Amino acid sequence: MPELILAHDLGTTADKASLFGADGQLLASASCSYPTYYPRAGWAEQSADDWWAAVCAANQQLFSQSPYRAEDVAVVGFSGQMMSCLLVDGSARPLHQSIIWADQRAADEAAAAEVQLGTKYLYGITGHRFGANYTAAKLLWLRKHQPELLQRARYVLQAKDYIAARLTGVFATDTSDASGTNLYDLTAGGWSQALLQALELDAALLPDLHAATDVIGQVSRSAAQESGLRTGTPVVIGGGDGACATAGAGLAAPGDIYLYIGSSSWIASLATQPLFDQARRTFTFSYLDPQLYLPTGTMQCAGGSYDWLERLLRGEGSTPPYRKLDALAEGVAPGARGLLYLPYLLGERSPHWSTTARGSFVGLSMLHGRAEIARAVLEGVAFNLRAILDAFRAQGTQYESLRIIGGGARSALWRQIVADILQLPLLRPQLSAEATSLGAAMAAGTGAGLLGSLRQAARLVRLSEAEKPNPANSALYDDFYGLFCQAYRTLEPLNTALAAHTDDTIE
Amino acid sequence: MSYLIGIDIGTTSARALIIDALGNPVATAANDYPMATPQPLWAEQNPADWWQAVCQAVPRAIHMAGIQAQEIRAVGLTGQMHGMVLLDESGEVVRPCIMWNDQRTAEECAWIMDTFGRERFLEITRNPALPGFTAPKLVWMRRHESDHYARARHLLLPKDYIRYRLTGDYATEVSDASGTVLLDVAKRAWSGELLDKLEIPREWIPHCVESPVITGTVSAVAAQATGLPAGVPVVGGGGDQAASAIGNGIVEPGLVSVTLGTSGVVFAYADEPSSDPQGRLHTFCHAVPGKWHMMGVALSSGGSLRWLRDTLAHSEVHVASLTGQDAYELITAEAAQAPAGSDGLLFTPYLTGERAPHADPTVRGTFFGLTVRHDRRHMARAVLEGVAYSLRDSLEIFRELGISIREVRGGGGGARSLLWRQILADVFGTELTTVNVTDSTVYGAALLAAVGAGTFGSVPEACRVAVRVVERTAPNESQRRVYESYYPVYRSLYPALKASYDQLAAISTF
Repeated sequence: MPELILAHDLGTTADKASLFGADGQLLASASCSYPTYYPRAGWAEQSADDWWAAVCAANQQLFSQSPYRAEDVAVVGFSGQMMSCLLVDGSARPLHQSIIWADQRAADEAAAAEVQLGTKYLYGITGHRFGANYTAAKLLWLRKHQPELLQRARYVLQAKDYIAARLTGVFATDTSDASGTNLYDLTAGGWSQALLQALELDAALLPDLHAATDVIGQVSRSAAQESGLRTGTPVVIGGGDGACATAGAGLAAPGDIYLYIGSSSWIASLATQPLFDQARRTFTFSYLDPQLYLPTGTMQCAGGSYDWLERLLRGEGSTPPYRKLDALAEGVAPGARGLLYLPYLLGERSPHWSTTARGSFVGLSMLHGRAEIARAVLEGVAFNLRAILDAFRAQGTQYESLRIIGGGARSALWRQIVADILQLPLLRPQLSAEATSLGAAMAAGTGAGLLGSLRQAARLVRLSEAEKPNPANSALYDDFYGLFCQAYRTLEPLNTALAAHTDDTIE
Repeated sequence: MSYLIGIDIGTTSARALIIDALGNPVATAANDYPMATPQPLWAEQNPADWWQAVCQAVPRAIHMAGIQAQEIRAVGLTGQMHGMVLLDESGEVVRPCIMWNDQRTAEECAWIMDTFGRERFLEITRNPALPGFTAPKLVWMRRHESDHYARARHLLLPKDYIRYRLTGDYATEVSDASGTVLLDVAKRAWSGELLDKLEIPREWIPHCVESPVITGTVSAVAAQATGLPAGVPVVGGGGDQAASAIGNGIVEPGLVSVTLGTSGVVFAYADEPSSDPQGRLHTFCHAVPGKWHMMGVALSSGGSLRWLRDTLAHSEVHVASLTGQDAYELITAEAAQAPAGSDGLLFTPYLTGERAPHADPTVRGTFFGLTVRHDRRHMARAVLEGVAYSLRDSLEIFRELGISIREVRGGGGGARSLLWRQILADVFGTELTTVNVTDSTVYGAALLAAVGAGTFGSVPEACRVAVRVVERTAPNESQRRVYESYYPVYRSLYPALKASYDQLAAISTF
């Protein structure tokens, strides 16, 4: 009797195959990378064939290097990179390379649609800003520049949907991935016919909508041969990577909230309603359970800021660099002796949505050395996260604790700073690095009936109590947060002036 | 042959320089002395240490020059400005000198400006009362050291104490006297109004002359102590800034100097005693008789580069120590690899607050415009460029006050960097020159001695003969345009962040 769950996470750089027990334990994993193509500045593409090849190779590796066999797999499910635009024909043959989330070619189309339909109208339907990196704008671009492709196309798919179609022959997607296309009506819970009509896009291009936990089909005989899976293995469609990471971080009920700190960072919470923020600082996805929503704010350069600083100071000593930076920063009192860091090295998404925003150190004095700079960077990232959290709190929601995952969460100092500045106690999930795969497995296991409900599955995530806010620091950090916001406000017009003279467009 | 000697009472050492009648340097010698910091932000020196250093450096310089002491025709004095030396009735030092960099008198400065009225005070002295200046120190002493105050009979500036030891005269000259904020700068004479209102006895104040004027002759006792010939005349000399300007030849309209030490000093010759109503620039009497100079001090110019070295450039420092190179050379070589404008990265060099172009003790430094693509090369270049922008700000104030700028002369350690010179020329949009004089301060004092001895007819004539431009850096047109486009953005940073810095100061105890 097969009882294992196979999760494939189709990330930006690789497909990761993970085998979980029904108790949520990670048994084995394998990963296989694929390239990103940059045919022009601002373009970013991947080959759907590469995705498929990576899935097959990862399976092969997984089963050959572990004691487990394809016969042990009860269900296969997915998480994947979102916002792709891949046109396929009726036999699931790709008509071009997939235009991935990082691609900016559709900037003009996105801007034109915003002018034509109004930013508020668009945000009011989809819960997202209408952006170049979303599927809808890319379709508009294709209609203008490669209309013959669009004419031949049967479906537009996301990465995981393509793999699911290759395995089962069924064209489907789930609500969480759909909510990242800019074509999904968040309140009504389906493709927005009004928006499709306004944009003059063919609704038939969009695959059937499912809950992420739905079994959409079984692995076909031919797909089994190629992929190394057992014929007839149930396939659960799964969700977008953000939604899956949310499940993997152990969020179970509305009001649960988590923070991911990797190179970028985001805060997302579970909610019973979409968050339509007046200032459009945040955006909202549909969740793996379509009854729930995932208000999200994301920042561009969190761990990326610390990486940048580490590179800046590199070239000394043998201590692992991050530990050394942490040790330096730890010796400095909160407030970094009056030094502020604005973490906009890559422009910013939440809360400012500015491509011209730039990083700054404000308040430099002779007293400041590397230690103060390191602490200021950690604090500056946390201040921007607080700006995101404030957008959530503006809805009246009170949060009791914050789950924290991602590489940045490994720094105890950073965790304490985050707890102090966000004024929330932290919880750490055990499988922090595998949260996305675990979330995909939870969806798949739920769909296959192995785990009960998603909410029950959340119990598989072991949480441990971590840093608590130090009340002694909160008043000081409140003052500095006020200054952080003010410094950005007064520098904002200068960002624009600077951009006018500087050729360093940031994607 | 006839020779002249300049003596400089610097912050860290006394230096003697002997030049010949054509202005050629012949020999120089220096002796160090300590500085005491009895409390944080205090700075004191013992005038006896200065005298002892002079008594060692002067004979050594004479010996190294290989000349007869009798061939020395005149002595010129210069030194650190603003320091307060007090002597009692018998000419004994009452307490250690409170130096120019001592910061204890903030309250007294505020009291002076309040009781006097800012407008009238600026009208007379052309400068606000700053903690470094002399008058607030006298007020401080009256408040805090009444016993010392009771003994005091004579107020002198550092170089004038050496004059007293050389000649027995209590005298000073207009350029140094300007830095006491007790001088009526337009009239080039002590202000009775100021002395009376501040209750400073007029008999304490030394006789004040124009800078090349002879104030007395070396006494027999001093001749024995220093090796100078008895009876040789001592001229007024100049405060270190004015003397340095003489040494750089800043003695006619259109000439401006920029000196890059820890601080950055912009200095302009002025025919008229115009002044900056906002108190950002100082207006002092020049060591050229009947002329003035204006001056702005950017507190952290070379200091910003040193901060960068100590903070971000550990690997350069490490490499330099292994290979025997100068870390600054490695850093500027890296900076040269970044393009003009540092790919949109700007730096404001207010690391210790600022005096010029913004009289603002709470402002702090900023890196603005950072992206992930910026690395140490960009940050180093941005520091060099930010210092240049800040100095240009002061040059713009000169222009607003009607001072013409034809040529900018670069000096100080920072001007040794070819890259920095080019950046200055490009940011200023003006040719940057360097002259043949290295120790411009002590050299200027020696030239003033030469004028006093009649070797030259006037200070400008002395400079025309002795000070020559040896290097010219012309602006690079394409780089100049880059800086011209960033400069307005740079200038917007201070007003944009002013409120943030005020609040940062209010909530910080750093």
